[in-house]
Amino acid sequence: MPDVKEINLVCMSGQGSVQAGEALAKLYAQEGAFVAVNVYPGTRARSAPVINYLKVSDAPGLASCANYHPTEVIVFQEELLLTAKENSHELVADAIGRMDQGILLVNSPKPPEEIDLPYGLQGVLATVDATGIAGRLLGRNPPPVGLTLLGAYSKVTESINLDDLFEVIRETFPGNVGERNVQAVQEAFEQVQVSGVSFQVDRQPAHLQRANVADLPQYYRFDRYDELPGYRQGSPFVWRDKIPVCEDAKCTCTNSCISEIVCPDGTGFIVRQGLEHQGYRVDLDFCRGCGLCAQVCVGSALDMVDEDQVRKINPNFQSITIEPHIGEVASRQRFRETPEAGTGSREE
Amino acid sequence: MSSQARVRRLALTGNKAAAQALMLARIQALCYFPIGPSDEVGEEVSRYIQRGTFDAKLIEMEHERSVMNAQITTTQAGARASFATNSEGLLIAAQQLIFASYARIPIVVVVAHRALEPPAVVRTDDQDTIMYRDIHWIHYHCENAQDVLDTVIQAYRVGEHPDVLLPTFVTYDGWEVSHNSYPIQLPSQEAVDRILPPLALPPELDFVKNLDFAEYYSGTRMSGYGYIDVDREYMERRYQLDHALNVTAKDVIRQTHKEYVESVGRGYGGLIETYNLDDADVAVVAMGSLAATSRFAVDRLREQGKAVGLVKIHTFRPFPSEDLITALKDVKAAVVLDRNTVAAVYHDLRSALFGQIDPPMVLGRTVGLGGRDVTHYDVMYMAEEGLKAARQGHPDQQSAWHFDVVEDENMLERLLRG
Repeated sequence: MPDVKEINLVCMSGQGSVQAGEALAKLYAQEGAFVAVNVYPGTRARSAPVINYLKVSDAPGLASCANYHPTEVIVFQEELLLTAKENSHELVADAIGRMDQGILLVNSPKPPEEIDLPYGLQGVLATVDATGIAGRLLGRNPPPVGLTLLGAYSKVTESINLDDLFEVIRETFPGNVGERNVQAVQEAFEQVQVSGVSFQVDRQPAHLQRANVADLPQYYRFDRYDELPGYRQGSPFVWRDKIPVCEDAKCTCTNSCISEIVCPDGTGFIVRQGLEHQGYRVDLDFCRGCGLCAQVCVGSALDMVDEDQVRKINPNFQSITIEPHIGEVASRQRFRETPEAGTGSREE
Repeated sequence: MSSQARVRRLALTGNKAAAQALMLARIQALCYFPIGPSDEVGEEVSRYIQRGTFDAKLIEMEHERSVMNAQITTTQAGARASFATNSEGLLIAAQQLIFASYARIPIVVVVAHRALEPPAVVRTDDQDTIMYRDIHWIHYHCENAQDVLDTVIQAYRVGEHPDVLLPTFVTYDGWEVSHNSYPIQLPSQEAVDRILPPLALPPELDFVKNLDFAEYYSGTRMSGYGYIDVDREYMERRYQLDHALNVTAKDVIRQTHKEYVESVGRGYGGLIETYNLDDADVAVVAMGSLAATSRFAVDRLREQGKAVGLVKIHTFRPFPSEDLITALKDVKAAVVLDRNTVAAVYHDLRSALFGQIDPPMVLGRTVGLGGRDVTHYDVMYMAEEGLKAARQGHPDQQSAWHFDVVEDENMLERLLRG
């Protein structure tokens, strides 16, 4: 059996694991290895798990399938470890849980010792705050951290050369975007925290749980999201950091609302009756937090605000409501002025 | 990994390889409508157009149906055009698909397979082109990015051959090939130009040259294809079409592949490709990325001393009956892997083998629908079923649906140890 190195990249869609997988494949192929990257795509543009199964070998003729013995796993979002632990998404649980020795790289601001591992691991656990770095340098929410994480990967595994990685990035993204990514990679390379501790916990191997043909009904039923197991109102079926919040006093367009039109998921709607002033509201069961509405809003009434902060301030938080998400307009003003509340970087 | 002398390679995904092949084929019009996972092909070519390094006309329209009309008319006007689509995109363009083959328009449509809805999945199976198996298109199934690149170039050559003049699907599995980075070698533009001359349609097919506008708009002539008194030649036309696909195209595909291998020095089979089949008792028959996985599985089985080989079907249409009969002459059982609900390859292979002297047993297995992962363990399991059938003289199950083999860790170990 040829020596095949298997690498799994597990992310939420939109975080850039496909880009990272392609860059990694280019780097290994440049060194003369045979590679194959199999992509498990997310079925939504955002907020669905995406897995890249990368195989590296000296011999040609690699299988085109999932990895069953990965030795290096990059987890793009710390919450995915929880998914693996609860086995709530079988392929994610499999992609992370099938590794028992090797290198696990997690995108998290925490040091490696504080990471709650879903299973026992012999080897190296490394963390890097790629979201922080990429969010600051690339300015998209949530930021694409794929290439940034490869900087940390280069430091931890020493299997790819940083200069070659820069070359690939500049080739893929000519101009300013490439330079910012290069800077992010450099910072991740410097900031990655590595733990040499080997974690040894009894581990139940993850198994695929398939539907039994005999148990399925003959008809096909369209699933409602709110009836699916694991659903909590508003989140986390839609995975996002920030939600649009409308400052009603600034919402002044009398005819059509451009934010309502551009929303890719049709979640936004303008409310003109039942309020003191008109305002823009969002169906938060389906909002992906892309921020397009806030970018195009003519009166700058919309702001992307951290969802956890909103939930903290507003105890009666609801996914769909015509009431403002942050109380009255006045309290929204207070929210903006208190620096410790942390309103994100838009006002700074 | 050992430190032997290494060749630097370029890694491209299947979609990007298809885009490179289209540019090497010097397409003059890029007809585009996005549908994942095929959209990356058009995106990549349009990126080169935007940067000014490649010259082609970008045609964007409102849906796949009109885009395919644009591709057909562009080709009729004498310019080489490309289009990449899949699943629902092919469904909406059904009428154009049939028009293209019956009117003998040599277009090439690149398809990254995607399963049909509902339930809504975006992952792969062959169903979207298998359901068009009866409309006389040439169907190529590619196993990796290199195969895609080589096949797209050959597809233009085969389709535009004056004795063939048929539209062609170049298909590969969505995500598993389309987004699978694979080390590839690009042929030089000179080598491609040697194989692929500029598009030269027969003068009768050239729509613009043959169109008499005065006649056309006055209604005395209803179309270039004629509605008046054609029923006396309709059946003859269909015979021509069938002959072109099932007889002429086979020779042209073989010949083109031979010339391509001579010119570029690499090939993934003309009609079929065999692997480790010389002394095999059991042959795995597969198409697309299943062939890549099967190749790996066959290697593992050979390490265990089991006589298993692989037949990769490269062109599903024309169905390579003669080649398969010759290839499977000495095996005792063939295990056919079908990534579609109707077990199309299984049935076609059984038809081809029927009436032969001492034909092999054929086991049909429907696998991998909707992107269900087919691992080398699965292929090894099914090959073991074939070996058992060869030993006992009859199969336990003639045709079956294979869902999963990976039920416990011990199962994998057992398969690997043999």
